[in-house]
Amino acid sequence: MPLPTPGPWDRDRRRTLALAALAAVAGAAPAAHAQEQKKQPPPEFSEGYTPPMPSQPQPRMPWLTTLDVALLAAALGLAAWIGLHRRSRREMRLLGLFSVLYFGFIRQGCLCPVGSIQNVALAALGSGYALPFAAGALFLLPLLAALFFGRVFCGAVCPLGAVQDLALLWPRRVPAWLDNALGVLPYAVLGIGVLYAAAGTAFVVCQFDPFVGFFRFSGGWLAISLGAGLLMLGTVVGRPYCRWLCPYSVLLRWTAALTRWGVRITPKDCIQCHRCADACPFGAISPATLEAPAEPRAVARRRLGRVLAVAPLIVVAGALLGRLGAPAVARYDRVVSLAERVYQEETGRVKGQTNASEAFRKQATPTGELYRQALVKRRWYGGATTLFGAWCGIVVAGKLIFLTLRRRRPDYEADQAACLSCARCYTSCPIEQERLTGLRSPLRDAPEQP
Amino acid sequence: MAGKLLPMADDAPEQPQGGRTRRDFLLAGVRTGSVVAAGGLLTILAKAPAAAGTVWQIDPDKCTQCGLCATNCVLQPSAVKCVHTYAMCGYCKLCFGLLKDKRTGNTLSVENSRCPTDAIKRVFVEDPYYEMHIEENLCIGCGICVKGCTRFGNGSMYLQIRHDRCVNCNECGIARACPAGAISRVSVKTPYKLKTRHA
Amino acid sequence: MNQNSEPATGSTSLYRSAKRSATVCALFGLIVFGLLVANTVANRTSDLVTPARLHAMELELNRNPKDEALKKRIRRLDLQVRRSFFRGQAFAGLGFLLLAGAAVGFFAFSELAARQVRKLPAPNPEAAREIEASLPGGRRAVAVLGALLGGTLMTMAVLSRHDAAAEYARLALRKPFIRQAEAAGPAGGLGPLGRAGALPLAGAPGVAGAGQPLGVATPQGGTLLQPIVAAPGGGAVTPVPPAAGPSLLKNPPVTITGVAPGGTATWPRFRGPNGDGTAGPGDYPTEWNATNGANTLWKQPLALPGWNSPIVVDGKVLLSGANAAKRTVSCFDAATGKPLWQADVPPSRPGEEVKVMDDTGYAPSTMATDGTRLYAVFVNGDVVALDLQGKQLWLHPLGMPENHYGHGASLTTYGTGVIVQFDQGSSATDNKSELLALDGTSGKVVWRIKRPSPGTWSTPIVVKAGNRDLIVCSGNPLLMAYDAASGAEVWRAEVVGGEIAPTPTFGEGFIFVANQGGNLAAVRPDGVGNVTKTAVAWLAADGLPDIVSPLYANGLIFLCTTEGLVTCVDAKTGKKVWDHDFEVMMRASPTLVGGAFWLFDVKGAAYLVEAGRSFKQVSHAVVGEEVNASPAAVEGRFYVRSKSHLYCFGKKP
Repeated sequence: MPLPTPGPWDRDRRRTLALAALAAVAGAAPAAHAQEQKKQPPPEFSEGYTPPMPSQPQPRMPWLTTLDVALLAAALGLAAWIGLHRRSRREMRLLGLFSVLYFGFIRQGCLCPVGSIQNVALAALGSGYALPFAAGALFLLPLLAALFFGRVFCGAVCPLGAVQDLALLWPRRVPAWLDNALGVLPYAVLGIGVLYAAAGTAFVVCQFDPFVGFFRFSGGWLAISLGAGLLMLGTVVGRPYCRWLCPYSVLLRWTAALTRWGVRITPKDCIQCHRCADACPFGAISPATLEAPAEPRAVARRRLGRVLAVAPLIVVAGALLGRLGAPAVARYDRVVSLAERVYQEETGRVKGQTNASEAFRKQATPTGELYRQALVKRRWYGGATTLFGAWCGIVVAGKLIFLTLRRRRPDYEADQAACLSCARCYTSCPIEQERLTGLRSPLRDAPEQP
Repeated sequence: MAGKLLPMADDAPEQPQGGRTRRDFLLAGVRTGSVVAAGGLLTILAKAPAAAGTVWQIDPDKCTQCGLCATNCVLQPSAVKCVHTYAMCGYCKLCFGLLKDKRTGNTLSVENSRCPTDAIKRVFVEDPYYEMHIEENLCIGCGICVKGCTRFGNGSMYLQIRHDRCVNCNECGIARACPAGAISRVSVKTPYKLKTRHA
Repeated sequence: MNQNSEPATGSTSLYRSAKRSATVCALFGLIVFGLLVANTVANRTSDLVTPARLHAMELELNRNPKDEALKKRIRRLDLQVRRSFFRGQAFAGLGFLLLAGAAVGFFAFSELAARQVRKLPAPNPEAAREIEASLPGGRRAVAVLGALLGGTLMTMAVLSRHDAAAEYARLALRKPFIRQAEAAGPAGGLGPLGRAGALPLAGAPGVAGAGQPLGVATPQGGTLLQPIVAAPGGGAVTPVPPAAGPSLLKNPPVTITGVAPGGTATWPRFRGPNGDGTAGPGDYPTEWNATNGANTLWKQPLALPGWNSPIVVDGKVLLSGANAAKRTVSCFDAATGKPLWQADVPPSRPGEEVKVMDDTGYAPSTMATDGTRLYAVFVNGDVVALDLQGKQLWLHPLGMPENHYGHGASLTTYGTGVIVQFDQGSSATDNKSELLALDGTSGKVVWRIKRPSPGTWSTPIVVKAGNRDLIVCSGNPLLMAYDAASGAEVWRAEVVGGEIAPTPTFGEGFIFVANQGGNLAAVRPDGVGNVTKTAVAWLAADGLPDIVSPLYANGLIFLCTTEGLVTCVDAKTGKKVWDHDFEVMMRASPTLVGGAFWLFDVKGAAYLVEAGRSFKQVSHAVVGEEVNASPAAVEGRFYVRSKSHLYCFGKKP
């Protein structure tokens, strides 16, 4: 281009002079002139004044995050040692207290393994996000620990679990049927958490984290009320969040089912005193099954046949409902809701502008571009929500089949998948007392007496 | 199975015989595989450029000063504060970050000044230039001054998330609320988006 | 938990006092909680955050600016508001601590109390039977919960029934809508001129540019949409605007060619047929000297000044000139230099005072031709069309642009239309800049679209990238590509910056743009949407020009600053290969002839530099007069505009 632009230098200096003069009389400049004056080039100071630099307080050092990971690993190891070797409820509680204080109040909850599911989902299924080391480690370590030692993470390392564990004052049993039904919810929460995270829409699990508000001494009212309600409920019902909401519990449950060394209630032979089953507030100890089933085998078999026949229908129905509900689910996304709003404004269906549509118009992106982006999101949601619906269907159907099958257990056993490694059951086991005191338990001689 | 860990291992119940061995063998394989896979994954993650993680930051060019930063942060007062790039500032006495565009006279009294907490101090430098100093502990991140500075001035004042306060929530409350989508994750190594030049 | 070693009952008195203490803690906690709620509500609705009361008083003050009593009331209320706000914040901190203390006390005392009355676990011999009995109930409950989940999705589905989103989605897919939405630009209606339309590509006689216009104006209308909608794999998720989809950089390269009108238009616009500064075929001289007549074919005086470069069509050399009083387009015979005609172009608004910089003058923009018509634009925004005989066909006044120097960018043509990058204003958010296509026959607007850029001097280039015809424009801070037929934005990359003057160029499947205050950037042309994160191969910062446009040749990019520093950059990596400081002012853009390129300094010297990986000056030539314009290089001849003459250099027959 043969256009000799005046050097920015000259122009600036020229404007500097003019505007310096303006600034000098600025005291009297009427407001109306403000808009014309707009850019005011930085002055050249005569007295050696150098403009200060804006300070940049640095975020928490990355190595401290690595330290957190190391602490988590150490706490997991300690919990495994206490739960499986020391078999001490008291020490487990102390470790839980530490976790509440450090991972909860000092580290204020973020990042945590429960939330890290979403980081993993976003990095794996979404785009434009690389998984940080800490998120990956927090996600994997408790699962690895569960693979070998059972859910020791839930026992005393997770601050969300530990705070509920400390609040459990008057444990009451929840009816088995209710426990079974509510056990479906974590799968749904996991599904919706992954759905929204992978779409890059929101981390809903973190958004509705009930206890992080306490750890931070502030937070949204919805989350705080949810937390307060759960804690109140948690004084009588064991760990409601862990059992019926926590999405991470799903992953832990399935890894712990394959565990190498889990919690074993009695150190050696079981004398069938049935005390441990009552000591467990989470219904994770299953008694030995009845010798003879309560109903004829043929009836049970027919029922199983029916359930198996219905199961695919449930999955298909879930998928279908998911597909139908997709637009409403997608609406939680910023781009989708913005596009909808802008479209309604353009077609005159709504008057005025929202903060978001106003901001969009300032950015001067073509509306067509916004619509296209929203369209891409909506198509993605169409497929993903179908999968989510199918997932819910699979879980419900699976649970029904599970409740129809007969299993055989010769002894009182901790259900490794459901056991939270809290170590409560040890304290009520008479054989454990024998181990600790070296005295023969009186219950050995009259095991069946209530 | 827990026997190996227990002090009373010797008289632990007999391991059931038969079919279980193959299952145990398989499970051991699964476990070993998982450990190797997890180890490999973590090594890759630790070496990746993104390993150090991210923090949240506001893009001042997208910010519309809607004021939600002041109310939607989990912290009270918000972790968002006004930041001033002095190198862009015109050092006007009549600063539209400091003073309203509609005033009665040009005094600094409250009916003329923008900042609701009086966090901006005008400091004399040399005739006719004044430095606008922001008292960060008073600033609530409402962005009212930023709006004035952007509309009428050089745009040298803008909002930033201050990382000495920010607790780096996994789901940032203000990022979710931001109508302009101006808040995003940035590398922890470059945690600020400071303005350096005229837009 | 010592119930194992002791009987279940503890001390009754301890139980009572612990229970009482727990109750006290609970009550205290509840009170603190209540106060905290009240405090938070008060602070969130404080006049400090939502200044309803203060605002009302302020409005009143605006009506009666002299009301001293009102001012006093404002001051008093403001002080009160601030005081209570900060007191509230201080209390919130304390309150949460008290609440935590109460909670700790409550749980500790409750635990103590519970321990005193905790019973031994009761063995339940019926457990197994009870569990078995609970199975039917369990199945029912699971079914109910499943129904609830399904019901939630069902509600969602019902909510989606009247789905406005589906409607915009359908509309977004419909071709005319895109044209309207995007041609009209984000600002919405642009008045009667904003009529949507598309430029038909002229039946260009087979030059590089006979490509099909992209997407919206063709039978394959969907092409504009496809790349984003059918993004491969998981990349279909386009997250929030800035990061769009997977990187394009791994895709096979696309070919880029210039789109030129062809025919008799041998040098139709600034920087030649392709807009990339490459000379046409011919036997060009490697040296000349206007002072002693060596290789100087002819020389003609110019009546009016102007910084624009000559264009060549139909054996004619054309340029415009203007001063404050007069504006003309001059035509010379290319073979002999004989002046053929001179056409006056009276301004659309006579008497309007036009402010320009002394050095750039009143005719900075290079003309353009589509082979049948000539187009010129002047500082005041007047676009004019002439036929090849100098007869004025139409004049379209775009209005005085809002900047300090008038309109400066040169024109480009596409098909039967003329493209004007009419940027103005001082900030990208001013929403004043536009890209327009005017119909060559009538001067009417075919399409126009707002551009998020302040004023620029840069000329748009028209290229065919893959199967799309794009108009690529530099701006601050965006390099943007538009569908040449409809003007719809195709992509944007945030890679430029500063005071925009250099024109983008292309090569190796990349668009290159360079500007002082920004970067030298290589951008793939096959993206859609914001491609800053996905299509930018590299950014470099060496030797960025402020006026002179970059030149691509032989896998290298040559940059030249106004101060005469020439930098050679590897086009694959952006790494600097060499630089050489000529230590003279240069404003003309380089012109590639064979394997070397010509540079002109303002003093009238020209240098022929080898376009290779090391600096080598091949030759030297002399114009002997101030040169600011870029030459036109056609059929072995250079047409060079100096301050007051038009020269033709070439080998004498």
